[in-house]
Amino acid sequence: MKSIICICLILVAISVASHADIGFEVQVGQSYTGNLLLDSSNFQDSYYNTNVNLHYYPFPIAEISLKSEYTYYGELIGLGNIRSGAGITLIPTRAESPASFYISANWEKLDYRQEFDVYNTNDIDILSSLGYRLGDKVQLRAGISYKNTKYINSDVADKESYEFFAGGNFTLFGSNSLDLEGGYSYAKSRFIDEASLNIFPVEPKEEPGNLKSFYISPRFSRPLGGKTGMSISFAYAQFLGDYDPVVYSYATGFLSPWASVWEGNSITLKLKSYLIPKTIINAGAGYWNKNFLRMFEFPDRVKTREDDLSRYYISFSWPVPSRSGMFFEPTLQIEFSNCTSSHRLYDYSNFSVTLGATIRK
Amino acid sequence: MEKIITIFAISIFAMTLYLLPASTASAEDEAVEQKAYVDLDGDGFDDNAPDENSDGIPDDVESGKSKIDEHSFEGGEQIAAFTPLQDIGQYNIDEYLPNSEIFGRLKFSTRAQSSFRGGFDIGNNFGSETGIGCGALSGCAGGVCH
Repeated sequence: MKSIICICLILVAISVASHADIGFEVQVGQSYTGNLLLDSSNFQDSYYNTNVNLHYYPFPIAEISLKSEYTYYGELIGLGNIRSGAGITLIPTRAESPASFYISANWEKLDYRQEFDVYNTNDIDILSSLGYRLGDKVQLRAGISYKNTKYINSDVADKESYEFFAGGNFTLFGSNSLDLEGGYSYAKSRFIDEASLNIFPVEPKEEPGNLKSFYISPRFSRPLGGKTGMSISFAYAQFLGDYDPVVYSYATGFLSPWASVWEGNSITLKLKSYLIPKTIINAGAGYWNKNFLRMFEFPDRVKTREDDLSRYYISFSWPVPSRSGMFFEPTLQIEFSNCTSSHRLYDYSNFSVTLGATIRK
Repeated sequence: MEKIITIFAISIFAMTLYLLPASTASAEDEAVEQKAYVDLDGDGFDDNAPDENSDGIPDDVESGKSKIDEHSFEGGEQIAAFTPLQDIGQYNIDEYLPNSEIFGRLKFSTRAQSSFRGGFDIGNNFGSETGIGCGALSGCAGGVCH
């Protein structure tokens, strides 16, 4: 039924967009992964993904977007999900003006099949930012983001966060670009009351808590000859304050609301190249040292987790423009990752391949 | 040990790349007045490089010409690169463009401020830019990122 809805949306998108000031993007992809859950289980699976985005422009300064994305898993069928959402972006300043103002608001709903419906969420994401161009070679920016994640069938991991960022981009000595960025994040959620873990039999109780963090991230980029560009980025993130929360262990693994929350550092190198005619090649290598929040494991243990993660990827895209202004772009992506962890469950490696295509206008 | 090797390899590779020449920053270039190199999206290419058909591949690359070739001199006259008309007399060209095209220009002008690299999801934007199948390739599966 969901696939029929997706096909209908694609057809509607194409037919409507060809007659109005509406843009669309349709993506289909098929992937194989040697480790879907990214842990020592090495669970292999294939999944299929369809994504439709519609963009409507009622005014020159506004974009209204609708999206729908469906993912089907070959083995772990219960993980199949549909993600739908809507958003608006406003840019009320002129393109030539040195000052620019950007605001976007997005709502997204994620629905899993019954087996995983405890992870269904409603997300709200608002971003507002200011930019200022100082001559040709310096651009400054600052902004604030608000995110709210509400778990529809559970309230254990509801999250509300505010994130502030500021940065500058500087052109140095011809074709060298240095981009510096830093930020501060503040999140309100519910964590495990550690005192409740000391009473036998252990029955963990939750309590509200605040998590604070900051990051700094310099990035350097430049061209390498006429057909290749590179960038190298560092990032350092650290939790602030004495609060050292404990979260449920299931919540630090797959589908975790806390799996993307860590402190530590990373270094990544990215390359983009047009060396092969009519082909866009993207490649990257990265290393992360991640310290996650402490996790409670049944029946009565609190464990720490520190990961050393390496990831490598390469992708090939072949954009084919048409005279009607539409694009067709097949893509092949390959990725390898390897992780060693202080928690044996997260010692893993993974190899993934994705074949996909995009049609856009 | 593996961690040290990875960091070392990335650093050596980056330093090697840095020593390679960048064609867009030559003395010939500087002799011709042009817009400064700007890379707000961090792909290593000049964001202002013309891409007439919007396929993501700069026109210089597709035509097999470098910027140096475009600004070469023949018979004492400079062959100027094609640039779209901005204003024709008293008319504002924006009045004749569809909203989507004007918004596209605005979006381009705010590309550095429409997202940020850090926050609680720091590092999740690593991966291919194509966005296809937000699966294992982008560090996410089933819609939730790792």
